[in-house]
Amino acid sequence: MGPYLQQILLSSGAGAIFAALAIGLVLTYRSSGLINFAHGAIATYVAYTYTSLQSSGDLPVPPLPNPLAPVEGVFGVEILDFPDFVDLGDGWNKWPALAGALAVAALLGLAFHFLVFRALRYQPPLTKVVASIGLMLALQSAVVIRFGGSRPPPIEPLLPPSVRSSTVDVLGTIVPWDRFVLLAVTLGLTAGLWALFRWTRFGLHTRAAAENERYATLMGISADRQAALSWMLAAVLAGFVGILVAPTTSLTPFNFTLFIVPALGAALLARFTSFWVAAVGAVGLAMAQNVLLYAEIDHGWFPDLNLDAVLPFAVIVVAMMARGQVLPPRGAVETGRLPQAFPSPWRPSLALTWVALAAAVVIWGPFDYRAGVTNSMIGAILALSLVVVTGYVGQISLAQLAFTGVAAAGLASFGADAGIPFPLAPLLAALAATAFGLLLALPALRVRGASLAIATLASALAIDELLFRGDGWFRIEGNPNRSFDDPSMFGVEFGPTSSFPINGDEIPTPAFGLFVLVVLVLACGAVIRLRQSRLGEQMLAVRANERAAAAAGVNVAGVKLAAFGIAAFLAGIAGALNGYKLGSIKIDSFSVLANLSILAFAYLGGISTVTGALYAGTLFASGIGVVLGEELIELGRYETYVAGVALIVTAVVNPQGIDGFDRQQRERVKRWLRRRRARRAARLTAASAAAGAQGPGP
Amino acid sequence: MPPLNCKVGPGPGRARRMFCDDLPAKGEEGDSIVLITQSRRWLIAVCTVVALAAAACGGDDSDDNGGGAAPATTTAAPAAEAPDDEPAATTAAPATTAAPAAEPEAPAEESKPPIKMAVINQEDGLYAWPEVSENTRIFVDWINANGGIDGHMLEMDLCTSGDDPESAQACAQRFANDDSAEFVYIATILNSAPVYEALGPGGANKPMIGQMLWDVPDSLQPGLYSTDPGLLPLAYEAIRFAVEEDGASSLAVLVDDSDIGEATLAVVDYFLSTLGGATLTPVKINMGQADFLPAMTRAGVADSDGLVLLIAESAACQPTRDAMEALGVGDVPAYLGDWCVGEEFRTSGTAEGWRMVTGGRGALTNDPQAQMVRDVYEAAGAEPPAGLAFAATMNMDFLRQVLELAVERAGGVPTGADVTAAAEEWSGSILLGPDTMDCPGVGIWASTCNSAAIVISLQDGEWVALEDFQLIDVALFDPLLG
Amino acid sequence: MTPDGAGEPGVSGARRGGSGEPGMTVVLEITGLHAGYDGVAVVRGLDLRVGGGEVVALLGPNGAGKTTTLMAVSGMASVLAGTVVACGAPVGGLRQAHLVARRGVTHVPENRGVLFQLTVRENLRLARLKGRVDTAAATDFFPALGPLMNRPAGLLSGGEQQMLALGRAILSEPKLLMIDEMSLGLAPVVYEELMPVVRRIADDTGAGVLLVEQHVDLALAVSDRGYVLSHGDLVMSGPAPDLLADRELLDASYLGLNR
Repeated sequence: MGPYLQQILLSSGAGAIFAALAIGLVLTYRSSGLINFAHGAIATYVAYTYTSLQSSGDLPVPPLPNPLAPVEGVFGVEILDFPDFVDLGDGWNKWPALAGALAVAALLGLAFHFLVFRALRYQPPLTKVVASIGLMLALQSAVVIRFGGSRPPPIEPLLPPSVRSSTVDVLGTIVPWDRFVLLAVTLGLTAGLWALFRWTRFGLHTRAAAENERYATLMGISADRQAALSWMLAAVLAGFVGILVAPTTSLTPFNFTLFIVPALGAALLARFTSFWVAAVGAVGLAMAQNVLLYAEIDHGWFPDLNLDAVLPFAVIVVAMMARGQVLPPRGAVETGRLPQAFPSPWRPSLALTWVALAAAVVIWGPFDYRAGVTNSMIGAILALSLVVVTGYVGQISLAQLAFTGVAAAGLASFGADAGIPFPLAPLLAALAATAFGLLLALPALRVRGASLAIATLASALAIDELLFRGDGWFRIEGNPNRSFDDPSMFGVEFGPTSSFPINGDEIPTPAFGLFVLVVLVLACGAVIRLRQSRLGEQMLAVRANERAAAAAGVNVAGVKLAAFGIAAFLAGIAGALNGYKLGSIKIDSFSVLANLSILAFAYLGGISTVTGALYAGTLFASGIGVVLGEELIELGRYETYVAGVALIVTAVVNPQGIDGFDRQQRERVKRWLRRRRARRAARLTAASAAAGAQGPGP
Repeated sequence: MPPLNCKVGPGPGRARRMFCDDLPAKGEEGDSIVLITQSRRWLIAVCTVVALAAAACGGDDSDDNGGGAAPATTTAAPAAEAPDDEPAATTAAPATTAAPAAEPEAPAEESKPPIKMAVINQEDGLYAWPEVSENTRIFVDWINANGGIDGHMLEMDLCTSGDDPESAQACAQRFANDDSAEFVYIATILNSAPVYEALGPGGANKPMIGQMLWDVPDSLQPGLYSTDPGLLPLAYEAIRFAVEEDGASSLAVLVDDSDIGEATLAVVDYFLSTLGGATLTPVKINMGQADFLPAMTRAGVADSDGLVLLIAESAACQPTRDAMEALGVGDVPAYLGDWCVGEEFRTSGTAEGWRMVTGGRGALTNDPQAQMVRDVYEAAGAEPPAGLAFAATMNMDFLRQVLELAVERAGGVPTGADVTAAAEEWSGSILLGPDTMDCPGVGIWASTCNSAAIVISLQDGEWVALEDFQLIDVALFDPLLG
Repeated sequence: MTPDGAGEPGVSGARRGGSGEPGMTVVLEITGLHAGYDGVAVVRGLDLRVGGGEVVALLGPNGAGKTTTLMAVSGMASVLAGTVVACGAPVGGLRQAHLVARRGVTHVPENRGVLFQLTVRENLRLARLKGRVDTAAATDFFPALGPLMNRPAGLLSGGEQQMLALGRAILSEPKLLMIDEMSLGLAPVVYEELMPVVRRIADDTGAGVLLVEQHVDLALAVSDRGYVLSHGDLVMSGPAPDLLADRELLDASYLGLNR
């Protein structure tokens, strides 16, 4: 049989895996209105639990907060000691281990519902995205913390050896039985979910609550309970899938999260509604990927563009352009609004104070503080890009980090290769990023909310693959490192190793930090001006209600293009600065997931204001917040875990982010002061009236 | 209808009662009510996060075992100004909530000054090896318990990084600025470019011992000393063995879909022309493909004399084996590096019959030196290292030997120059290679110690050597620098 | 059946065609209710009572607080002060809102509460949470629904949707049936057909019906008693005939002239 047909047949394994994840995504969306980026991480955690139970009878316990820790630290005693693992005897047989792991999965699902997603039901999509990102980070790092990264755990496969080792000859191609079994199991799960939703009372109630929670409540359906049960079901499904397919795909802390992108593509094709379309779409996607990969070998002229990885992106974009708003709207009891975008009047005195403080730390502070502040400032510029596109215009973009990559690569090409001098080279690099940003605006013209988030994530992946791998444009030949010359003007260098009169013997020297500070001030000023300008008002109008804005004469498409363009430019500036800071460029193949973290932390800081961006910067990779945190508490391997939990907690407790919370508190104080003054004035008036009533004084 | 300014309080039954007096505008009201509850919740949230983070210190005992481990960062005082201020039994900074540990190896009785060992390990993030920190500590403890380096105790100063380049850079800069750190041991790091920038010949010029992954193809950079031959020499030796010793004439090659994978392919291409006659079918694979089977079929494993597996991840071993069994070619030998060398692969038989190229004898079952290393860990109650941790352990022993030479050379605590010279004059030990293995110190490959590799194979559950150490002339890789 | 003083609803059944047993159960008791949203009271100081088997009209112009009252009974508007006891138990907050329906309170909301993506039959199946629903029985009341059983409810006309909503309400066998603005968007002909059904429900099943309406005459035609809200305050209440008689006051309430 032809090799292409062969590839199609052999793709059934990968197709089954993507499909099994995709239907889980559809399940979660249909029940809770949430796109669960953490679905793969749940599968990972439960699969690791299974391996642990089955190989050594130990039940892993996720790192739990110890409320007595400060007391313990101060007095040097240990009061509460949560175990890492609970010893439940020797290694279990695989079926009890499966049952145990799935019980853990159900508990996890329940816990997520009660602690996290119940509170988020009325929040806008952005908040839910942030919470699921936090969950993903926390679960993945929990696995790494408990199991380490070196050794893949031994797994006893669920399928018996007889199935796993036997093959079947299909028209000349030998296909192992277990791939077909996986496919059959996946299709069975799909059928089960479909039947559940179509025929059972649970399905009926879930559909009712999903369509209109208010009406469902009036009919006595507890939307809360439906969501809780659905979460348990989704978690158990994820866990089961993880355990089932792990032997085929090998179990690492990050594998299943990688598979989420094609799974998202398939789920999107299905409008997050139809289980069958999601499953079939996922299988089709896997087949198409492998056919493309073979075509690259077969036809030498096929450019090595990693089309297989780009395929999910293409599917998503095509689906969106063709169908428009893909995700069906839901009638919730209430929908929350994005955090307020307060106009930030340019207050020179306050700004000067912060600038002076930053400059002081950069010049006179110890080198690690200097590095932290510099990292934070660059991070703040990146966060500013999110403020513009997501905070002001309400478009969720998960591709900002990809733009920094484009700019860094552009800097390598323009600066290092072509020898274009500073400041032209970084500006050109940022413009290259802008070009991509404008491209990305096109799907944004058709879709909103979580759909757009997925589209931008997939395009970040596509940018990564198309540009930096294979025969991509910015392909870095040979030695993956390209060194940049330090930026310099008029003979003065201000790179991280450039000389500087004070503290010049420690790297990084203050020169670079001051340079970044200048750029940050300019960027903040620009964004503030934007907010106060007519375009800024139009942006907020589009954010509030696109149709109303269009009716009022706002060019919605133009505003969105401008937003993506400006945001990409800012991200590009951050990317160029990053290039100078690191001194060389390396494209991290996991930047796709890092995009998620960027958004989450920008949200945490406060996504609608410039001040929020500054807060966010402190939280970014090795920013000053992290440096200070390490001073107080030795986080080490727990850093990502704590970050994930912090994101969840913030999303649940204070959707306005740190900046919003800060403003609320200030408003509260102001109001309290006003009331006091009013009361005092009232008392005075009353007193003088009383005195007046007695006639003039003696 | 006048809007109301109300406060929530208890009411009859389940009803909430609103006590209302005067009047802010409608809408603000909701804010103040919400705020009261929110600020309390925010407080709880902050406490949770702090407690969680504090638990990281309080709950994790292993962080503070072992030889004089200082906290991961310096205190606020600039480290550069206080080179000798690190006593062996460091107490944590006052605000730290680390579980205190009395250091068993406090060098009370030794009068010789300790040797500061700066360590960088990637412990956090998507790719992370926290267990390698423990392994390193165990080894350091063992060294100190056995007299240290000629009487000088080793004092480990660990800086951990995440998978972002900034944290790697922060660790590197810390040690670059630290005058008391003469050399740096790199346990594991992925973002090695910023590390190399800061510490290499272009930066602080301190010798680095250990492995750097991904960014910098191992063995290509001066200033870095590693016994891990690196992917390229391993790939070369694997193919050479297949063609010259096993007589393969066609090979299927699985390559990692990354920059390093691309570089590997280039090497493979280049050298096959010199090895004469063999054809190879390279296919790129990445872990995101979920199933190796189609890729292996594309590579034509069924019709070839062997499979060359150049995906340097332990996670790739089992799926490769399964796919080969499924295709009915379980008997076709696989040629690869040492990422599938580990206890679990031995007991599960995954690697049975496979030819694995490694830089040292550490994996050999019946090798006394290798057993010694395993004994060190079992005595400490820890699992013997595997995968990447295994390679890291080999480097630890290399470091020990280099330091001994350096101490001898310096007559005391060695400087960076002493360590560099020692590395360059070091020649192999039984554990790590043949007596003729050394760090050539010539040309751009100035400091590579990777000039030898040995092919081992799992036969009947035991790792045996199929050949003796092969010296690899690293000049072969010069074209890559073009 | 005892004719009686219509001002005492709790004492006897002042109903036309009602069973007239003494000690009629009170299915809804509202006392001193302040209810609203976001801490702002839309309804203030309402006392209202519905007994089993009687039809009570809740009247008033737009914005009077009628819907809020119903929502408060269903647990979906905040009760800021006062008590609401529905079917024997006090009403809790939003978290327990679903329990209210399970106690036998059926609330047909303003937009009919029909789920568009479910079929007519599936909508009817939601009448009871447990146990089978005899969906065919709905056609006894509304034969027009018969051929529409498998059609997605979103494709029905307004009148058909209202029939569906009422059909579901009937199948739920409520003790307290609350209907919000049934006449909204319906042709008078349709509306006039539906009203007697409401009366029938109260008479045949003994359910108490609380009918929120803007159309005074039609509502009072089938009601035993009525309450009139205006701008959140209760301005009139009493037996239906009395309300109808005092036309001036009624009109004034609607026009907001008697605050």
